[in-house]
Amino acid sequence: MKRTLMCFATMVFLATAFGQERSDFQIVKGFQTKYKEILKLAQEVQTVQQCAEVSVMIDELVKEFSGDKDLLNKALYGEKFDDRVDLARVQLKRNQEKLGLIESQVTRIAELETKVRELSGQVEKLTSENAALAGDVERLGNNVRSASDGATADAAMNARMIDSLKGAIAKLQNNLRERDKLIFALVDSLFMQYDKNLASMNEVEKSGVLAKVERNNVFTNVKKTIGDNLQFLNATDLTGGDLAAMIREQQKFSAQWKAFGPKLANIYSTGKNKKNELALIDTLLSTWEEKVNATFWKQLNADLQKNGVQMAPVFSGERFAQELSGYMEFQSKVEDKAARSAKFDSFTNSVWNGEIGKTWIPLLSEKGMLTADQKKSLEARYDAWRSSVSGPSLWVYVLIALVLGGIAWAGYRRMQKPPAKT
Amino acid sequence: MKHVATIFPLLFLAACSSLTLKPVDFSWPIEAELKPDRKGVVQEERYTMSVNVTSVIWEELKDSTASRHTIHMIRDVKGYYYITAAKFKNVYVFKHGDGELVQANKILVSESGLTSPAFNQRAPNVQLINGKEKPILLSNTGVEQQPEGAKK
Repeated sequence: MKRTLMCFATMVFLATAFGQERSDFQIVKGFQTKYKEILKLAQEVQTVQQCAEVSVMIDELVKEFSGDKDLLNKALYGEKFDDRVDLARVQLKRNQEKLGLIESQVTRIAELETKVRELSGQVEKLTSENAALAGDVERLGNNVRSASDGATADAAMNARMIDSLKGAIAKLQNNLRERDKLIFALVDSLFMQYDKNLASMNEVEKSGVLAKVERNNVFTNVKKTIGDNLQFLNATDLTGGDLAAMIREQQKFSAQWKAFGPKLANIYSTGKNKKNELALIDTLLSTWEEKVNATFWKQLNADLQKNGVQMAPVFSGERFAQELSGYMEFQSKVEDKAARSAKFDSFTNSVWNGEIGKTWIPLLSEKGMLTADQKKSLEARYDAWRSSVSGPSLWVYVLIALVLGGIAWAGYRRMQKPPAKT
Repeated sequence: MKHVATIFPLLFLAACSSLTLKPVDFSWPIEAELKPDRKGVVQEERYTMSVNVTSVIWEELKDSTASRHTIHMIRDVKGYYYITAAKFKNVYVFKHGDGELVQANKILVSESGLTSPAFNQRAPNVQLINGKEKPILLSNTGVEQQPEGAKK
């Protein structure tokens, strides 16, 4: 059954992969081959999932060949297209009844199976689109690099190239995210077809899940996704915002895989090769995480350097807090007030209110690398620096005024009070 | 007696001329892909027809082992048979003879030889497709529609 399904999937792929003009003979032959396979499967079904799968196959057969109905009616002498389809449905229904399966259950699973197939198609489409986009990003990146090396002097053209590159990166990142989502939606729909716990499945059911996992290239797609994300990280210099999105994606993907991986390990309890593949995916995920972290620190250090923050490179949240705090403390103690003030203004605009303050620091907090105390301490250090250039803030004056006003008011009230009668 | 005089000439005329039934549609809905046996004979099961194709393969490819090739064959509305195969430069058109198929036309369709030919029934014509090339419409008299840029 599993092998037959694989053959069927291959035939569907081959039929759709080549967009050339098809001969009528090939259409009829294609229909007959698929029909024969479906009929065979309809006779062999043993589980509700298999019934649902064959039902979906019949629907797909009708969808694929409806446009050739006239041709098939002429070519299938003795029978009509609709007769054949009806015969397959009757055969399936008869076996369903023999197995004591409820129609509504088959329909529900068939809907999920249709969804799995649709999602699988979307994943394939996105995969090829992403390959083309990755090529664009590489080409545009090379153009921008050679332009910045001085090969192209036209500033407007350079700006246009950078815009194109940014657009391609954004699109690719969005597509990668979309594909990650689709893969796990596919896996969800696939496992939702099985009500019971995987551990309690019999061998036929387990091999059914395996066949579906393989037919929908789940392993290949997961590996491809991680690979593409790694390649994307290598090929592009991400800004804080983009990297934040990438980190979130990596964390989400990793969490989803952690939920899905053990299920697969359960059904692959006997296959050594597949177990190795599961281990490989775990390794790839670790590599992705390491790469994301390395890129994170590299970009953060680069951003600090770019904005004139002279401090040693940091590779942990704690060191970041220490170094940045030290930098602010040092700057707040510069004797020349004009220089101190100028540095403070530049720091405020480009760092504190810029990418570091708006994106990197919240991201460090989100990743649990910067504690609330460390963040507060940085804010206090910044406030101290500000005070050193502009004196106490307006709020301090307001507060002092309020306190003094309060004291004066209390004194006045006391003076107004009549002396107590004795 | 008067009636006999009227009917007799009609019966006489009917006996002298043959009947014609029309219209007739001889077309096959799809082509047949046929593999010759060792003797070079192909067997079309649906129309229970068999024909020896050794001569046409020899004529086109100078190969006497017909069984090495797959023949594509179709019949049009008028009853003409169209035969070709991979590596053929021509499509051969035959008409029904007395226990034989007689060549009615030989249509040049590819200077370099066909790579993966197939016929489609497109009444009143027959369409020849060859891989990704633009399809050609044929009739028993020749090419009806030539792909753009190709030699006429």
